[in-house]
Amino acid sequence: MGKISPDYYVQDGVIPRTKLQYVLREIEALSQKHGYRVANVFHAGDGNLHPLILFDNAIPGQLEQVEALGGDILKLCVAVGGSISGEHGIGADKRCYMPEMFTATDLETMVWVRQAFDPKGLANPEKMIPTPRTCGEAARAKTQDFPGVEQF
Amino acid sequence: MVVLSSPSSKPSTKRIDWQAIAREFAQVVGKEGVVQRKEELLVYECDGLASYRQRPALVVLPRTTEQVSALVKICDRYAVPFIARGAGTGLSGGALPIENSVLIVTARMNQILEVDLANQRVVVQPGVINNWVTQAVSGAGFYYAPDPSSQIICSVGGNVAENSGGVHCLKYGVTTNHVLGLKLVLPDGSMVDVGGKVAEMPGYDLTGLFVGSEGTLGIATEITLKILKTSESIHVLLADFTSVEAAGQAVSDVISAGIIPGGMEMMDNFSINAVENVVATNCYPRDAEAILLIEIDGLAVEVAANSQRVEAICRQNGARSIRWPPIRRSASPSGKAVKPPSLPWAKLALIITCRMA
Ligand SMILES: Cc1cc2nc3c(=O)[nH]c(=O)nc-3n(C[C@H](O)[C@H](O)[C@H](O)COP(=O)(O)OP(=O)(O)OC[C@H]3O[C@@H](n4cnc5c(N)ncnc54)[C@H](O)[C@@H]3O)c2cc1C
Repeated sequence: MGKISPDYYVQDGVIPRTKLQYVLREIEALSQKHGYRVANVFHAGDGNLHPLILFDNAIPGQLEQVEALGGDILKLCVAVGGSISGEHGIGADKRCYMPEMFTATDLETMVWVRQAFDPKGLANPEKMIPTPRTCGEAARAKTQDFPGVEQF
Repeated sequence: MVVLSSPSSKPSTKRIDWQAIAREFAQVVGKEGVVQRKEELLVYECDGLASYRQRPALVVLPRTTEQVSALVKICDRYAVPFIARGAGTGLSGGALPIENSVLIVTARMNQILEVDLANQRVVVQPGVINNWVTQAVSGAGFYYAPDPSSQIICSVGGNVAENSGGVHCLKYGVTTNHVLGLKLVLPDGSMVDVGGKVAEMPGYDLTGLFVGSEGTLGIATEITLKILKTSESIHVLLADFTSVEAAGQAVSDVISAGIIPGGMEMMDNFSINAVENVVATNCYPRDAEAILLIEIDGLAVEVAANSQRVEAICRQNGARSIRWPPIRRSASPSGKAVKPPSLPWAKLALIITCRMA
């Protein structure tokens, strides 16, 4: 992508195969709304999308805007019944999107499992599971009472 | 509403005696196994998500399970967080250090410990590169199926932690479907074996739990992988469409027909033009709204029959042209020609397909 744009941001999400056409149209709309081109390449068979968002990291502020667009694409994946990661994992990058997919109970269950292995929290802390420190308000899982409410 | 707090994540304010920790590490792995000079630590300050950086306090390079265990025990005793790192190609910042942390890098744990062709399994250390597994067994007609685009540089340990996938995972499953057992060092430094050398094990599926845990449950120090027999025949079809909808429908129709291709990859118009702009292959129609690359593998008779059916499905969905680029089978047991076009190297692979056509 080098000749078109100096940098690109790879997003990774999963959608049900049958939603492909709809999701591509929506990604195009998001791309126009945010003002960044998105190139779509995917493992079509299993619905794993890798939208590449093109930008210029030398221009201050672009990375943050591109991350916001990437985040909107992830929320779109969840909205159609998909997932926020196909294969790249959650790590530090997507931990704050976990509450988009999982309820407070789901996340608490994961914390229990983690604590069973790692009661002192020394193994790769702060990754994968959102905490108030890393995600602020976003660490409060979305409750069923407010389905459409933006958390962050 | 419940506010989740992860076990650690309190910003540590206490003073940590890094010199003392480095000395203890050196007793385990030797001086040359400990990295503590600022300039040298820079290499480790980010992974593939390069926009985030944090220098680790220390980097340590063990060679054996026992050494990892001893190192983790030291971390436990000093209550300092540790982060496993394989090749550092992760794209979500999994191996990104946090403040005042130790990076335990598996680069020197790069031995293939056991190859058991008769039982189709291989035991590796976590720093073994994904591609090496296939290389080690391809002469005998086997391969390791999960093939992330980064397979020439990423480690099996990283694959396990991320439950990595690739083109051929559509048919063959992601990493978790190919890991039979693990030797683990738990966060208190104790060693444990989970799973085993056969697929069916009683009790909790701790192997399944660990795969995809992103280094948050401990460090994998030995991994038993399943290997597969290379397909007798592989065909790749390249179809171009004038609408993304049509290409998407063709994908759904192929699967509903009961055919699971070895891989099925799509690129949209913008991506096609990006490839053409950069390398001018002149083989992807710039006006195509989408192209599909479909790999069909299996027994020769099955591949012949399925190829015809897939071609017919693409035509029914309005494919303008269909080509069958030849594949050099010997060069790539897993059909490299259809590596996903999602990332630069993969894009190159796609171009190779084109050149051969
Ligand atoms: C160009 C490019 C293409 C890519 N294509 C794909 C793709 O097609 N599919 C895909 O799935 N991914 C892809 N990736 C992402 C990445 O390569 C994979 O996630 C890979 O598995 C990471 O391996 P690594 O050795 O680099 O791990 P690292 O980045 O070093 O670590 C990743 C995570 O694993 C943990 N970890 C590492 N080793 C161990 C261990 N022994 N025990 C416990 N935890 C451990 C780390 O703590 C971290 O959380 C791509 C990356 C790049 C740069």
